[in-house]
Amino acid sequence: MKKRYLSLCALTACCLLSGCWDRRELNQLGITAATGIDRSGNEWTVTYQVIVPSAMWTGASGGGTASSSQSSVHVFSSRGSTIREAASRANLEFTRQLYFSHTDVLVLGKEAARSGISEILDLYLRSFDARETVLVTVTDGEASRILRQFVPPEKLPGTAIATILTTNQETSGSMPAVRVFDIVKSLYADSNAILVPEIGIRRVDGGDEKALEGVDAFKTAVVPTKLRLMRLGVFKGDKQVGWLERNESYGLDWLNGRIKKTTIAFPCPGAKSDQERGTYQVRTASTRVRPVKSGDAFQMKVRVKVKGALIESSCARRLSAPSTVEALEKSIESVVIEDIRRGWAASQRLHVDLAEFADKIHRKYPTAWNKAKQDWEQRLDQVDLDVRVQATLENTGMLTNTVSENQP
Amino acid sequence: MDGLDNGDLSSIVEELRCRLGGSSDFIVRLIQDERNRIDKYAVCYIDGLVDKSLLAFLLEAVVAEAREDAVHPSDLAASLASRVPVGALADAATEDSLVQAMLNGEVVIIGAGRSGGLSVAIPGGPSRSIEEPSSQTVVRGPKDGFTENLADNLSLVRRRLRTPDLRIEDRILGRYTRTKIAVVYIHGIVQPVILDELRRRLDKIDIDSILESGYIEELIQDTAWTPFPTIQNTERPDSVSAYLLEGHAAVLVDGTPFALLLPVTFFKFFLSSEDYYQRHDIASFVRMIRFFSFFVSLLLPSLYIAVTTFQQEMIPTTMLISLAAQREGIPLPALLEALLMELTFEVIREAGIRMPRVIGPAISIVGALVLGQAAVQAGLVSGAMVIIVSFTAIASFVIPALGMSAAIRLMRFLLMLLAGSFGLFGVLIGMIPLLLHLVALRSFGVPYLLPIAPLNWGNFKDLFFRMPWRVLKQRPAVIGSRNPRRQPKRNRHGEGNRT
Repeated sequence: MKKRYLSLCALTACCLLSGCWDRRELNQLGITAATGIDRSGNEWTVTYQVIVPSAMWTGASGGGTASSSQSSVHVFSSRGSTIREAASRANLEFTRQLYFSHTDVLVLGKEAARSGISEILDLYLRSFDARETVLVTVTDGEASRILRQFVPPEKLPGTAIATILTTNQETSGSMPAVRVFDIVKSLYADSNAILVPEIGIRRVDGGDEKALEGVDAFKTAVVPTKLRLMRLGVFKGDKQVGWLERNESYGLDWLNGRIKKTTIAFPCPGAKSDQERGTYQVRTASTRVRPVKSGDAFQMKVRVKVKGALIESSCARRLSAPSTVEALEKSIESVVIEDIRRGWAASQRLHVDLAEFADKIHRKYPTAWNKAKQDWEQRLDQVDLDVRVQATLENTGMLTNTVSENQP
Repeated sequence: MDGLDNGDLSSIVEELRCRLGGSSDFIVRLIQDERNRIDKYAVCYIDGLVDKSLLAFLLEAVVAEAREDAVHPSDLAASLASRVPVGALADAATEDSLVQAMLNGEVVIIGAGRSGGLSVAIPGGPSRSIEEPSSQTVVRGPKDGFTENLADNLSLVRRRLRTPDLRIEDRILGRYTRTKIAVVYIHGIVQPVILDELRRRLDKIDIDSILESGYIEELIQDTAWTPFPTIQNTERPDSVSAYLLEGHAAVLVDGTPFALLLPVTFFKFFLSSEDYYQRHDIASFVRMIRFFSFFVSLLLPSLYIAVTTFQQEMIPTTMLISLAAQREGIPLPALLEALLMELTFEVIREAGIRMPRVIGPAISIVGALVLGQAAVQAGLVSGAMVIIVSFTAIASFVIPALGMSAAIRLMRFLLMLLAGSFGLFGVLIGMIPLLLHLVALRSFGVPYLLPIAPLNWGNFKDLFFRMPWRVLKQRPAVIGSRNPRRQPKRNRHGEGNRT
């Protein structure tokens, strides 16, 4: 009995003496929706987009009354020689403890991306509350500029950027959604390269970007500027070395097998004008890349299989005929091949192995790779591409003909 | 003390009156011999303990006997036994036994010049009629419940189990209350080991009073150092019958409608007798709801505290934002907020039970409006906390056994304190010893977590799900394994029904 009381006392003492451990109440947290990291000289500038919860909540009045005139995020920056130092200095001017576990997106400024991001990657893997699943974007300018922009009608711009990235990857496949972890993985891959989407501000009719910085952005239907995914930043190691256009990266996505669902616009077979085009919706896509060694050079055999449906067509052809379907498939195939070639050409131009061929060669020809890896970037020019695409048109939708005037 | 010397009737009556301290409810009816005008019989009883209409029959018979001028045998019992039309007769040789017989509701007849007395059992007096049990209601199922009268209660059970194997053992406990209790079991199904252990524990009881079966429950349970009940109680005769048929024993106590059932395992507290009256699929669904409610009731407030004050990263972002928004401007930390609300609820609950029925609606208005809505609007508690506390409260009422839901309530407070100190880690610190405790617990030697630990697959048929009766061919193992078959083995899937 004595023992029982003793252990009970010990337990109560534990509870009381611990003083609630590292308790953080929700109203002490500055939940960060997005982080921007810039570099100027030797200093890091970290920009935080902190959620203002009371502006987000539209329920009955509890603590803070929700009002549309209140900004849903609070954006500010701090400087320091390291990123964490900058973050700790944030409390010189901010009331709450910054909380990074719910950060959705990380925006890298131009300078930071150019000078190397290994310190940032280290931070995201090392600290407890920052997550390596954060989506990464680069911008051609200062990251803080991007974080100041609202994305109407979404109330949280940071989360909105993340949503744009993920939805885009799922539906059109034209932009990869890259996480911190993916970048770290690329550092350890043989190809040592990765594409990171660029986010920028698109001006409509020379609009003023300041217009999107206030709550007034929510009051108009058409906003003068918009945040938009633009090009792709090419990272070699931890440094950004250039840009790719979207149509170039699209080809690389085919090579990497990153495309799951996409739409392909193609010219009608035997079309008389440019206007005769169709759209093919890819439902499943698979890519197999096999390196073949010939002498000192490598040839990459790329086999792409896509299955999908015709979702739009102005082709003046009778679609019920198998020969027409075959012709359409040929046309689709050539579009994909062209995309792939364009992407590979861009990769060769930058001398960065964006198609991740290095890893495939390493796996198949380990000894040859040991020789090749010293000057792999130079050898990229000699890599020959053998692309074959097999497109299958599974159905043509609810129409077999076209509604255009010149019926076949 | 040897036999009564009935030479002088009035001296014996005086002696009895003296024993009872001259209590005014001690009634003596002296019956004279018509011819000699001397007192021939004294009929003594305690007013209110005997049945008045039967008493009239009895008196009539005694008076008739007194009128006759026969040669009296010296044995009173022999002369009266054939004439008394009612009640069980017994000889009472000593004054002590006469007094005790009267206190048990018997009428005592003493004859002048005869040795010994005769007691006639015609118990009566005020008693409640059989009503629907108030603590365990069902939608489908019998609506009769036990009353405070042991004989009525036994008859309710006996009427459901018309087998000679239903055995009832009487005993009297409580030096002052002299409470009659009955151990009920089905011979051939109950485990003799358990029955012997029950008898042994009952024999050990030496207490001045037994006013409710709760006294006995506490005196015979395996350990007092647990919040969990190790003996089930019920107001329902159908429930008692079902338990008896599964090999349990029951203890019925005079003066209370609550019967004790034992041994009992943890999961039994989540079953209701209605489970067996409803279709098996809906019964299974309802059972899942009960187990879910158990976890909600035990863990929800502590998980909420842990997750909102320590592990915020576990909440989805949008939910976190709305929770954070509600917490803006709340003066108390989440732990205190939750404790405050939980205690408030406990106060309302207790008030609801204790207060006169007439004031009932007032409490619900005060509780719902003032403490719920107004507290949120005043910014003292967050809306989310009110939702959590009320859902927890409602979930705790889903558990059919009150004793179990009381145990969960106590544990809930402990877990909340741990969660407030250590977060999810604290919840685990609380749950592990709780589980260890449950595994170590025994009810009359039967492991408390029975079909789970030790594992017994056979019993799973009637645990989280209630399988159709065609599948439930066996009694639950361990407790009912002395006579395992409920239905013959070959009667598969209604073969008998198909013809």
